[in-house]
Amino acid sequence: MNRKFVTRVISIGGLFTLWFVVTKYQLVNPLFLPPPKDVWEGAVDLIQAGELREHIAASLWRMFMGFVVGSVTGVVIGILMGQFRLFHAAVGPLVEIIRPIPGLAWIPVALIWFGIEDASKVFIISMGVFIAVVTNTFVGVRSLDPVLVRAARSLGANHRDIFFRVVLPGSLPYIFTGFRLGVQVSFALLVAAELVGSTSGLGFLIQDARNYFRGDLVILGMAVIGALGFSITRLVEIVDRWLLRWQPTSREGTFY
Amino acid sequence: MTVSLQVNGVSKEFVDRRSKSTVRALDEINLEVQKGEVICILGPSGCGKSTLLNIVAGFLPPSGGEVRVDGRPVVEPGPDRGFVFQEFALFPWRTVLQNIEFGPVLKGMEKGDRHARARELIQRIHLTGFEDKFPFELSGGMKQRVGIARALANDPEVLLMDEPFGALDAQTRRVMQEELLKLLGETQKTVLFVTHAIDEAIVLADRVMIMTARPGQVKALLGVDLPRPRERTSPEFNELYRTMDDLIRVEVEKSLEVQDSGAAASGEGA
Repeated sequence: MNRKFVTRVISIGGLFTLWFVVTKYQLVNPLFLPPPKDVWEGAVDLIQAGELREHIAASLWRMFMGFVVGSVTGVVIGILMGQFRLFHAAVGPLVEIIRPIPGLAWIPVALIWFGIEDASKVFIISMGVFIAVVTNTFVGVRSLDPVLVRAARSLGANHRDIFFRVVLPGSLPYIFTGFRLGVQVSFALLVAAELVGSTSGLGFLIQDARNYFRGDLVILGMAVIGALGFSITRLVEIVDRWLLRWQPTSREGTFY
Repeated sequence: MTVSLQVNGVSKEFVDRRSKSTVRALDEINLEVQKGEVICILGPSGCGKSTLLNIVAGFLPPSGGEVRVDGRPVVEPGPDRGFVFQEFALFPWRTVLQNIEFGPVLKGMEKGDRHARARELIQRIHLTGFEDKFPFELSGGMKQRVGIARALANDPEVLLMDEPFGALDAQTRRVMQEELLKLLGETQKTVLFVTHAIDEAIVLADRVMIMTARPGQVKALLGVDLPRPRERTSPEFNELYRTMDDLIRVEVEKSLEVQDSGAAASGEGA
């Protein structure tokens, strides 16, 4: 643990040192890679002007809304598909058609339908999250051991009990796999959508800074996205680990 | 003595999906079980003993006949018939205590009452201190103790046990049999217990029902009039063992012949 921590500090510190050295001795054009000091000063300016906070708030809000809309519809439709054959027969093909369309391909149509305000980003993100969650939820419901449903029925469970006390908790590991994928997808889609058409948000910040040759702010925007992505992924992992503490093996897919 | 469970002329037919032919699994099963009686069902594999148990549980509808529990016809699964599964079937996301109190929760029993009941059962299955463990943290024997306690928490009229110790090692099996007898002595439950182990049937049962090869019929219904606890090494025990073994062996051979000829007919022989 301690050794791991030290290694991490060294590796991150090493990156910053490299950055510092490369820019200090002008090994690359500062227009391409501004020195850490410039980025820091740019950050201080933006924070003092209250601009950075606004961009972060705008991005997080869109992501949050898109994630909620996409995951709630994904869980509900995924469970219905897993539980009812007729529903699966009707809705399954639609999901299959939508699934291979990359989230990015929804950007133009979302801009036409919903304009460049929040609604278009929420739509794009929710599409990406929905696909990740609906497919995993469906698999989760289908892989539930039918003997557990029998056990519940023999203990007096009605349809509602089975839904809320067996099917839902039983599919939770898969639903969370969908959530984790959804978080990654929503970050990618959010930034892409903001780069293309937006008047606020971190993607817009990067795009706008590029237009004014403010390399420092481009890097600042990217760093903030990285930090936010890291924090949110971690948060989901913590919730995930607590809710799924009944699972025998430590769960895979954690990069850190 | 009052009648707890009646199986009246129960038959079951399945349609084989591939060959589209009808397979008769159970043929006119009749059985009457007194309150507090332990019946073990023995038979060759595929004779339909688990099917019979599933029909009594209400998991499967019979093709003919009916099952009555305490005089009421069975139409669907219900808390009056507790089921203990070979594969334990504990809810992996619920702790030991939460698994046991599942039935009482569904009944809407108050938290204090159902905790008290669950804790009392936990004490009786010797799992005090394991209340907050999840199933993956338990051994097979512990899991099945929880499975039995979970079924008993509903205070069912009948306990249905489908090879409950089949997945356990021989030593654990013995211990579980003894503990089950003790539990049953305390609760006076009517029990239908499916097994393929003859010694297990003799140790546990008041009466043993031996089934024929498919289609399953009642071949014999033998009372076990040995004093408890039953000694596996006693001459009477072994006498009974031999009698049952002879009865079953014939059926096992028959079921093998049926399988062979069936396989040859459909061209699937090795």
